[in-house]
Amino acid sequence: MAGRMANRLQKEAPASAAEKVTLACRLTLGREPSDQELKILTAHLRQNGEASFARILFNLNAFMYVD
Amino acid sequence: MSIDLHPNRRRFLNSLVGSFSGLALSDLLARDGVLGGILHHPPKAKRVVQLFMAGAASHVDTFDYKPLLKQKDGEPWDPGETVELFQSTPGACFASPWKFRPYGQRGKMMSDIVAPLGDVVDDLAFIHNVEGKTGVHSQGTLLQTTGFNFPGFPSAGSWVSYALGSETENLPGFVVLPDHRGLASNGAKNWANAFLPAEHQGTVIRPGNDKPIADLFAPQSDFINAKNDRAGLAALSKLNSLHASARPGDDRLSARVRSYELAAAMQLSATDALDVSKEPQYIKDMYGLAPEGPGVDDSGTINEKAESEFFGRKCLVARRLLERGVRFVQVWSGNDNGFPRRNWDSHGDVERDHAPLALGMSRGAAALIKDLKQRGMLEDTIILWTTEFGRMPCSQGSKGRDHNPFVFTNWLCGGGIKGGTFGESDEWGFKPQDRGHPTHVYDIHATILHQLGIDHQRLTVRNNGIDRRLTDVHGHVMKEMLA
Repeated sequence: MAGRMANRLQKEAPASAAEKVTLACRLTLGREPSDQELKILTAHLRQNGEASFARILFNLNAFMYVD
Repeated sequence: MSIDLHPNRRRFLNSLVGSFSGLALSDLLARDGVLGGILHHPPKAKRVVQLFMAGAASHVDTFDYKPLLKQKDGEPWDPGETVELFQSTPGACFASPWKFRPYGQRGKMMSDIVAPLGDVVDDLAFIHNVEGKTGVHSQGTLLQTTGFNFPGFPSAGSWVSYALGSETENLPGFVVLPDHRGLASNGAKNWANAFLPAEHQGTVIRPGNDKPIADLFAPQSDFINAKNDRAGLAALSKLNSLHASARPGDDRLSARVRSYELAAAMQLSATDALDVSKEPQYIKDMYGLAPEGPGVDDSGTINEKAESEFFGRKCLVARRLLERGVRFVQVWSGNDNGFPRRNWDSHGDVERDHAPLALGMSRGAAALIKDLKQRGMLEDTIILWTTEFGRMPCSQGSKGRDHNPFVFTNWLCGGGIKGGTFGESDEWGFKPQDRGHPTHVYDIHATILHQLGIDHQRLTVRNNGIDRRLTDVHGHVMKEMLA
């Protein structure tokens, strides 16, 4: 699942890490990331790649539980 | 001694929940237990092992000696009243296939299939007049694990974990060691937290499996390595904590944060706790571990060697978990309703099924008791042996026994419980001898909580408008059993 998400992000938001994070948050959480979230997630994506980043998203409490 | 003034600390800490430090503090409280380490009275015990015989172990073939059954073997059984059975009509009086012999200083009579427990019998407190409410497996199981015979209530282990918290940050407070052949009736409901905070549910560990704990380690993948896994967990922790601090009062969120932390710690601590390879040979022998390990063959027939390995390994792992601070360990024996039957539900053939199960169980249980004793841990560890209900004094077919919810046996050991017999069944093993004063699961649970320093009437959680207890509105501490 994380691998497929990574492929989609590379295809649909190729420009920058921030763009990928924003798109991924829209897809998984239905909203844009907060400033703090953007910072943490962008840093992880830059260092560890899209697939590792997608694993985090799918394990977020914000993803698991709908408010 | 009263503790009514002490919850101030808790109230103070609770008042901080919602502020920036709220999450960490509520987490601290959970680790402490709801009683915050301040108990209702000085405790005698710190931890509990529940040995659960799935399918319903026969009391009259193990611990509850009934010479009358031998005298009347094969004669029509007439207890002088209507007998309602679960799935059969009462057969003839059915003597146990095994010899009973006296053990220990009190000459306690036990059958040959539980002979290994003879070495520790003076430490066992037998309760032969336990009365159930139902002859249905799932309900009987829930009654013994949660104190209610219908779903929706926390397991006794969850209550203990909730009250006392964990003695260690590296392992869960409540661990379940299921039979590797299947889950008991109700599955995970037997160790569910129900309305208690989620982190008090039992954590399932399967000793002997390739992966004893599901999902403890990251899956094999070409994009996951140790470095990005660790970095991912760190980022996840930050993000989930941010999310939870904006939603105070939802314990599921902090439980998940905590479960990731615990999982990271358990990658080391659980691996160590489950590794019995460095145990000396005499310990492995005492627990009945097979030279070929957990892969010992039981495919053709249920056999003593395999049952000893299966139950013994769980008992040894239980000891290692208790040593490392786990509060409550639930150990299951038997669960497979295929053929050959590998559980205690001996409708068809008591002799074939009960012998290997009981010999394996009693060897592992006796080893656990001896081992805890030699480590000085038996004095503050309670061991409870229980099952769903008993089995009938009459036969089903010619070799089996049907369910008997009217009376069965429990025994307790350690944790300030003294040896002896507390409560008798009637001459048949059909009903309690004193029908007006049976023992119920509430009394057993009340006594265990008492030894842990908890008043079972004061450990309550409001759910659906009712202050719920492990013991419902029942339960008496069995004072005569306390050392």
